[in-house]
Amino acid sequence: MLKRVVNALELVALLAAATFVVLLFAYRPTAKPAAPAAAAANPLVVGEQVFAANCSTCHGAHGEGAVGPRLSGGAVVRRYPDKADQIAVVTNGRAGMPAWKGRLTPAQIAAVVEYTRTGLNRG
Amino acid sequence: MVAGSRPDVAGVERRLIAALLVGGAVAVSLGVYGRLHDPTHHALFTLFFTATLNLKAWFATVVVALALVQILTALRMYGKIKVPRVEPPWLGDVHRLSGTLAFMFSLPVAYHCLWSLGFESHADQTRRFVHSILGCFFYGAFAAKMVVVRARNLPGWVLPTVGGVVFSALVGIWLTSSLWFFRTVGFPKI
Repeated sequence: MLKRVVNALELVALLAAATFVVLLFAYRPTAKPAAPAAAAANPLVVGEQVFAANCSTCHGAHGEGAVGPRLSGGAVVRRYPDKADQIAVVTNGRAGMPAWKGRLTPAQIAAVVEYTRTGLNRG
Repeated sequence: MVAGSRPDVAGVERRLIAALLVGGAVAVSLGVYGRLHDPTHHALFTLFFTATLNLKAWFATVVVALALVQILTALRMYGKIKVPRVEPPWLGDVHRLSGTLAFMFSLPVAYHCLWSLGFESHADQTRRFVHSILGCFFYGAFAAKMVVVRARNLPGWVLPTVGGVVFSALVGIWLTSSLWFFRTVGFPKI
């Protein structure tokens, strides 16, 4: 009985492995509709997009914190009263925080920092 | 010793090389994918966990626990431990079951790592760099083990060695991810 269960499970595992490979190439997250040009130029809109794409995995979709610390509710402003200090951390990294220099432009870093300080506090 | 009973050295070498090639191909393919793929940075399903990363940390821990079952059952099958005193007839099936389940639990974790986060190629990001290398190596070693398990007439040391390598890689992966998560974020962090 157990042998038959294991045999069946091994087949399922094989299928799962095949699905894993297919999904690596086939699955694309649903793209958000493009922002109007005026909105796209708004640093908060750019910052929100950068945050969703790069930061939310660790800091949570709404900056509520996960692996990375909580940013929302004014937490990041209390931690970094001077915005330049926060920009330096995002740019160069620190402890578990990766450096984003070279992966994000200075304008994108400035935008996402601004978003975490003001945009995340609106909700 | 008569000529007909001599071990087929060339055949053994061929099977070992095949296992190494398969393992290498899997590991390199995953690394190349992780390096070339543009990370999506999207979360996946969370089940009853609060975030995908929490799910990953606990799934990886389950994988290590199942791998420990693999190690213990293997030690009993090889007679290296004597508990239980009489080897149950279902021990081999439990060994296979724990390995299969461990592999299945590892897939969503690996998928999020590769698809969402990608391969960390910056060596100055030590933990993530080591984790990326070990992740690719683990699946390569696992694939090699699958080849070795099914190969006949290999020397007795091969399977335990490959199994030990797979387990060591897995522990390294866990240390650089789940343990880091539990120490950094908190434990238990569901």
